[in-house]
Amino acid sequence: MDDRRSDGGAMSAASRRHRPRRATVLLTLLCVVLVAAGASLWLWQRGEHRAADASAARDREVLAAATQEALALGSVDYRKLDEYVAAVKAGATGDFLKQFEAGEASLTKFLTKNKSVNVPTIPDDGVGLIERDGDAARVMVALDAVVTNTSTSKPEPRHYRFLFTLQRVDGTWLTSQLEIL
Amino acid sequence: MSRTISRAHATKDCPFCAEPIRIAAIACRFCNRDLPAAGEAAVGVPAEVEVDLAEQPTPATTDDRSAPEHTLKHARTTARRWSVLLIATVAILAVVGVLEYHDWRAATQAQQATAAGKTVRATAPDLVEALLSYRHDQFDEDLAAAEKSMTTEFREKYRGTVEPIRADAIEQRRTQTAEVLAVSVISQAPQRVELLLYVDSTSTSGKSEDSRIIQAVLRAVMVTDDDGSWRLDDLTVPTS
Repeated sequence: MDDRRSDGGAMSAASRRHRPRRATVLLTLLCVVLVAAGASLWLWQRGEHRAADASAARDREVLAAATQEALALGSVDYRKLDEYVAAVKAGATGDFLKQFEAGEASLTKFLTKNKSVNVPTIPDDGVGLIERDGDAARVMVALDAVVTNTSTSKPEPRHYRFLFTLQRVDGTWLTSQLEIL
Repeated sequence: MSRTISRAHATKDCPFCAEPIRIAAIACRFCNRDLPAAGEAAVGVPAEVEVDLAEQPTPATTDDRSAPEHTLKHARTTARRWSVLLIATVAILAVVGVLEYHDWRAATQAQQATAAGKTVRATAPDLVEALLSYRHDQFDEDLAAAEKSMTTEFREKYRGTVEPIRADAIEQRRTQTAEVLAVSVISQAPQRVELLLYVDSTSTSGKSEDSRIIQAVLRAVMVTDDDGSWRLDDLTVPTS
């Protein structure tokens, strides 16, 4: 040991000088890595959560579109047939739109002749999603209606079991097929 | 004013950190830098050195108590910085952990709900058809078989409504066959799924030989226990 070293230590001055700085740097790096890893994991998990929320929102859009089209179909008033036809077409596309347009003239003639008035309602829990895959979906809508026409002496209840097939066209869900079961 | 002190206690200021160090030192005990010039200078330093007390601190202030105190103070500062760094890291990780748990739980529940909906939609039609189908000559056996798929609460509720059906079935020698045409999900959760079903029931009377078809819309609620089996908890007609 060199007596001229004032602290009397056996280690070199260089090693004593570097050890605290190296330890601080390593500890800081470790903390940064841990925080970065934790933040990355949280961001990924948040992405999963948002994807689930987006899927649920898309389901709600589909159900709302099918419900609206069912009510449009069921809201018959022989005095306002132009509005009725426009409302149904606004929610239609593909084969359903073509079929509706093909039968529009005979339908309006029939409704006018019978002075048909339908007041629809959808019962609680009367709408269900069969499936949704990308931009295609199938929905069941149970529709109740009170029907008045020239062949009924008083308003009569009717029950309809609709099965809609919908397509997402330019961001809007439209009915491409309709089955009445 | 001056006094004579031994070379061992004579001090000078470190050229790097300006801390007082001994003249004979070859390295500074405060900043740990090497002082090669100090070692060479120490060779020619006389055993006794006359120093100006106005400039020199007294031996009492340059004894070994100042060096450990300064080193201890430096060590405490470093420890304090490391503590702050570690506490900040733990705090950040704790907050991130809570946020991550919240998002993980929400995403997991959504996935479990979707899986439950798919499972129930595939299995419920058979269960409902079995419940609504019967033969007059084995009505009780058919009912007992159907009740195995019910929750206890629904079984009690259903038994209270089935007696008129049973009486008519036996009286009319009726056979009823139910068919589920379509099934969809109204709502879904990991352990509870609500379904909307379109059901056609064809009922034939052996007594009058008449046949009728009942077109029904039904809402079914299915629940599961920890054992993973799904049971019918409610069956109603949706009303406006």
